[in-house]
Amino acid sequence: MSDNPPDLDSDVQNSLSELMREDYRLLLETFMNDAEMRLEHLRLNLDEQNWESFRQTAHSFRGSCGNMGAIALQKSCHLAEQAGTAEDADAARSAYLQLVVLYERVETLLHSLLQKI
Amino acid sequence: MATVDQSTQGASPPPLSVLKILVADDNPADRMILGRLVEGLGHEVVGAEDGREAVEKFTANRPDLVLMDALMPVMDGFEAARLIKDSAGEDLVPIIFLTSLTETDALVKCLEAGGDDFLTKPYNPVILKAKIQAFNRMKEMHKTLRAQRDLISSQHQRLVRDQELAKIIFDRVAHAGCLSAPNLRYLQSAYAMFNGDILLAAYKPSGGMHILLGDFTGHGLSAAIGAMPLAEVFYAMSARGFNVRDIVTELNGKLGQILPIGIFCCAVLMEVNPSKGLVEIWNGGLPEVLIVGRQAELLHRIPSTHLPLGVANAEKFDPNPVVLAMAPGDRLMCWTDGVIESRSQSGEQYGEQRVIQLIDSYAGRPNELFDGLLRSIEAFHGSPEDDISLLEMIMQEQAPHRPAASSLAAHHQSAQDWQLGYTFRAASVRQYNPLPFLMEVLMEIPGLRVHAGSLFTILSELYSNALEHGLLGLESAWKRDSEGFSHYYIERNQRLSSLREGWIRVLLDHTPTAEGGILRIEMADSGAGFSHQPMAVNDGYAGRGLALVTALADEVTFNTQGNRVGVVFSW
Repeated sequence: MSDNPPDLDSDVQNSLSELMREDYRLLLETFMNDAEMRLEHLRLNLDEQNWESFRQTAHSFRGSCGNMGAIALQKSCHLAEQAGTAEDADAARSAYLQLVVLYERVETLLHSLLQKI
Repeated sequence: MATVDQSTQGASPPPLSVLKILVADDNPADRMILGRLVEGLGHEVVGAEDGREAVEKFTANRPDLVLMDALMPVMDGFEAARLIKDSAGEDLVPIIFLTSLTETDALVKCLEAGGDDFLTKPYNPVILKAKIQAFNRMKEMHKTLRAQRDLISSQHQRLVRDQELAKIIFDRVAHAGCLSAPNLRYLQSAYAMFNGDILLAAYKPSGGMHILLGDFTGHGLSAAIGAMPLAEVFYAMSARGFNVRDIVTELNGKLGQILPIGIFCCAVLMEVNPSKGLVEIWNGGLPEVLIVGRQAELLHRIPSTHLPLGVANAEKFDPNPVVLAMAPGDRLMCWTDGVIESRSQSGEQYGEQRVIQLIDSYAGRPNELFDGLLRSIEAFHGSPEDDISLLEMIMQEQAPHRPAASSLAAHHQSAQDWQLGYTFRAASVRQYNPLPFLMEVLMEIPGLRVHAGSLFTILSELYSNALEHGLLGLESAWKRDSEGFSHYYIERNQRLSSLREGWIRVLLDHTPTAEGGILRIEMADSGAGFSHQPMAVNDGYAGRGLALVTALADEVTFNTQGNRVGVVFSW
């Protein structure tokens, strides 16, 4: 995280807002619901040491973070994926905690966007 | 170039064709974004949340294009891709994998699973649009290609069906004749037939046979079409007793009338007369006809001396055949130019010289000549030649077959007690063969039909004697050897065409009896009579005609002057 990527790329959000128009709110809500579900999955996989599922969940989450312009989250997802592949419990836990923190920030940003609609 | 804004706001014109696109992604936010991007490009979206649903939706909706996440729960994209490709069958359904994968191995796996391309997340609308268009073009091309392939295949099938049908009709036409006669041997490849080759043979009512080998210009079915009227005229005229001159004149006129410019028929028409040991050959445009003796020695080469059928107009057309003697066991061989023009691998033609050399090499073995020639051509060509028509006719001791004239009219009551006189003057004699007409008159009496062969022979002998010796003053003594023979027939044609005076009178007289009837035939001519020009009966070729008449009739008498002959035929 040395280059300090933005939590949420506002250009991407503007584009999405234009693309989705009246469904923009639905997209944000869908993303947030999905993200909470993915984080919950990651936590369970971590407890169970189910590394394959951990990796897959992180991978899928990375895809949608990328599309949403949540660049910091996207990068942490990649780290989580790599930890899952390596079956490295410490790295996985560290990546997971990072994701939780980052997501809280992104969620706050998204909520403020929702209020502006 | 479209920008993100244009495509997302739908400002760009709608695509030429609206595609149905399956978007399969387990991630709902990604699915929403991609779905909206695709809709923004004017296409219709079908969504699926996992691999199994993707396969189901594919089967139900038959989309044109599939955008599918590689990693999905329940069934992953790789497995789904395989099932979709199976289900699509011959249809080209491009599958573009959606992936955040960046590792080379993972991307390769997408393509190996049947994916046609991949699109990485986050999505770039410009690239998405370009890829959809590219695959749509490919799909259209595939569709066009397949439609054209199917069209070609269906037209090919139709062509094959047409050819099969034509072959059936052809076979029926050809088999209406007597190609299966024991003294004939022929080979006609199916391919040759569709290149316009035709081979016909028919027994003449008086015995002997007519044979026609023809080769129409051009290729394919169109070249073969002219064969139908050709066969029809040939069979009808041969059955009614017309001779080579009549038939070839009619064929030339008929083909000239119906064939377009540039299409004509090279042909050999022959009349084989075993009872007189004669063959008449008219060769218009085909390779040399060859006659070999009993030791396979080359006796005659009869080159084409006429234009092909359907070329010359009636005034210029020369229907006169070459007349040659053929002893029993002599062989006549003829073929279309497929034999002569057969080419070796290096493009060299077989040529007539090779045929002549081959005949030399079969000296003493005439039976092996036909097969030997085929083998030689095959060896020369490198494979069995499939474009040749080849015929061999062996001269027989006498007429093998004397069929009754085919049913000319329905059975009806006809006059039986009558006399008919007919006088043919010079102009008629020059241009007209009265025999078929006279035969038809006689065939009106049902009881005479079984004797058609004998009657035809009698009439034609009497008529040719009256014509050739009476009117034309030809010397039968000339016909003792084959040189004099050809001189005789050349002279005959010249004198006939310049005939300006004279007549031939035919008297037919029929009286019924209890069992049958008595037919009296009188043939008189304006000539000087044979008392001034003695006929050597039973001497060489010359006397054969009258010997035959004497054998067939009950009574043959001549007047003193020798220009009137009377024949009595009881039945």
